[in-house]
Amino acid sequence: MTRRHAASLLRWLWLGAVVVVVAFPVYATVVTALLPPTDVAAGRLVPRPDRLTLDNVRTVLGTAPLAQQYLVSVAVTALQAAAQLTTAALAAYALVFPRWRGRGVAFALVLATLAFPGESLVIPNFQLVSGLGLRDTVLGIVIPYLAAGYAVFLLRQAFLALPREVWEAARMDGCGDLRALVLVVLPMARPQLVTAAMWCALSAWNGYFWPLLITDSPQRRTIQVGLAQLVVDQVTAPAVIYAGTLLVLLPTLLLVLFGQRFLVRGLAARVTT
Amino acid sequence: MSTFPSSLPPRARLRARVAAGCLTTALALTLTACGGSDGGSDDGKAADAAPGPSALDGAKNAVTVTLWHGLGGPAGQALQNEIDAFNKANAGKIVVKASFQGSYADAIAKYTSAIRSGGTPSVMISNDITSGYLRDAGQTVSAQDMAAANPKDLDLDKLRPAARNYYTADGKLLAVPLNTSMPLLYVNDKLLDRAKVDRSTLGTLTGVAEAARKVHAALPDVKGIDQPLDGWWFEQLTAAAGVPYCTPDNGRKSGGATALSLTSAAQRSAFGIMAKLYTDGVGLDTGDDGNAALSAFAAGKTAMMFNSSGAIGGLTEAGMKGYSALPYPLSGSPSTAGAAIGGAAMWVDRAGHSAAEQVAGWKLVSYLASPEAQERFAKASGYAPINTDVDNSSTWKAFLAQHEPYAVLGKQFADTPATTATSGCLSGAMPGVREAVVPEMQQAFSGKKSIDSALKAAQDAATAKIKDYREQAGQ
Repeated sequence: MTRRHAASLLRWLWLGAVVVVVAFPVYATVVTALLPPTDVAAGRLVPRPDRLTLDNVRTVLGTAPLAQQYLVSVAVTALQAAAQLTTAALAAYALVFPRWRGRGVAFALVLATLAFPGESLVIPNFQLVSGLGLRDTVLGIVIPYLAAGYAVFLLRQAFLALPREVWEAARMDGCGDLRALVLVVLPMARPQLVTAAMWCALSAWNGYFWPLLITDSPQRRTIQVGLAQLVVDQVTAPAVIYAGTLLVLLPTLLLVLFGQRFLVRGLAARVTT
Repeated sequence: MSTFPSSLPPRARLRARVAAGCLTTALALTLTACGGSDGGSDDGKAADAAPGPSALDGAKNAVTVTLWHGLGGPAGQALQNEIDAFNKANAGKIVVKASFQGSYADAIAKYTSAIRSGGTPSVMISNDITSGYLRDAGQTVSAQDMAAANPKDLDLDKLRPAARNYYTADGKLLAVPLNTSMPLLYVNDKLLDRAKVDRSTLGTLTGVAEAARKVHAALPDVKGIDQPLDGWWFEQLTAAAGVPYCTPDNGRKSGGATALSLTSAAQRSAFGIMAKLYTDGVGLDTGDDGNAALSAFAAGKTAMMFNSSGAIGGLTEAGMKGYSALPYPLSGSPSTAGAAIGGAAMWVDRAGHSAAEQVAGWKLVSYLASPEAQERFAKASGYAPINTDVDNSSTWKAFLAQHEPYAVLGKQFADTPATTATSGCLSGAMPGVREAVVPEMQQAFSGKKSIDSALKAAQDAATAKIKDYREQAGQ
């Protein structure tokens, strides 16, 4: 065997190992969610096709507030991701195209927000949202997260890589800032825009601690909080917990599967800029 | 109870740790804010006089009581059933809205946030180790005061002394226990018989250690004992040795705890006995997870196990038969030593809550601690009833006759002397103390560190946590 073949074999082996490590938890979740509880108790992880069932998923959806909590999560994700994307695009545009004094400092301040752990902001946010009378509302969950430093950073790097001449030409032709952003800049940065949208959506969907803190009624809580209660309530029925996990995981999986082209391209573009 | 956090999946435990970190960060700010106010009845720190029945009688509309808790599964359902029954019995007068707030750590983190914005619940159910923090936060009215102002409701003399002792400081009951667990020794009857172990030797720690060695020598494939290596168990070894975990007086007197004690001769001996079992390969290391210890015991990998009384339910679910539950063994004098309780208690909030709401909250607490509610709750959840009148119930006696392990738990609970040692350490720094102690002890039990240096290091690290906490709280 030549050295090149050996290297190639090693690379494939390594890739295979990584795939197994990454894919196994997902596989175990899907299979366990679709097996009857008796098979799960017996530790069977290779399912017999005739024994697959949707009973566990039905049990989860039948658990009173979970379907409602799913809708709350969808609303929170849509609102939060849209708001973050809008504020990030506007901020990144302002940081890249118009030249003004202090934009370096402004960007440094945006970056500095990434250094604060989210937990340290919980109490001031709680006070603010309670003060606004938005406790136990969807808006209350979303309002502290209308802007995200990481999304600004991602889009700023993307905009920096764009040919400035195109923007200048548009401006010379009388295009205003907002039109230049929407019609010229954003279409050119589409891969990174999709990456940022996915990042915003995933972080909104996966939020747990803040939605738990700011909501009290089960029907206004997000699915992640509902899943935490499901784990405690159904501790003796792991198949039901996995079915709940599968339902929560599904949008994330779909987003990554359909968006991975943009995700990789967007992240790579950021790195090479 | 110790098995609750450790029974959570890794992700939830990570969340619990994040929440605990958040709580620690928030403590300084919150306690400083609380300490700054000497308050009236509805604002700031709790004043002295507790409201009586007239406050509720004067309410024009139905009074709403909010309740936060961290109970899930059968216990959560049993609690909700009791609340539904209370609401029905008090229709038109009191409406209780209960809300699950995640794990105990999540719930207390939310409570900490709510203090600053004035949005605490009327009644907070919080776990054992948060008692010191809740006392220091000064948001609540003591159970002692509420009982004195409302003599027709809960009679505090009916509370089991060991549980009452845990939630008492300066001779005053702070909160009313709701769900109480205790540590027990579980033995696999068949394995013990095969190794010819005499059960009468299992009342002391040395007797249990000798039995563990005997089992492992007779049956080399079987380990002698396992236990979850989490913070609760080092507190139990200390209480069973009859000495305080923190000084002075387990933080029960005015001034509070200033240091952790791990290096007394009694502790050195008890910790040393257990650590040696592990370093000699007689003990099975299953980490800090109570469920992992339970699974190993249920699978016959170990002949004995220390675990919370909550494990009785787990063993039943695992289909285990042929085991016995025995009292937690002592290494100190039976007159002062014993097991410390775990579980959670009900705190009535005063700051920001009307007098009528406080009295309505106390009515709910009294109902949940009543013998009838406690009997139903104990049967459904597996916790030990905290009202001594339950002992006289014929249906409870019939239940115990059919469920031997619960009878052992009940007897241990009743027999535990209410002493300084069994009261456990009352300090707002307890979550941090556990974080400091557990890693050092795990190193000692795995043989990576000598027991003496581990105990000294854990004592120093935990004392530093207590000092930091006191400084932040302005004590």
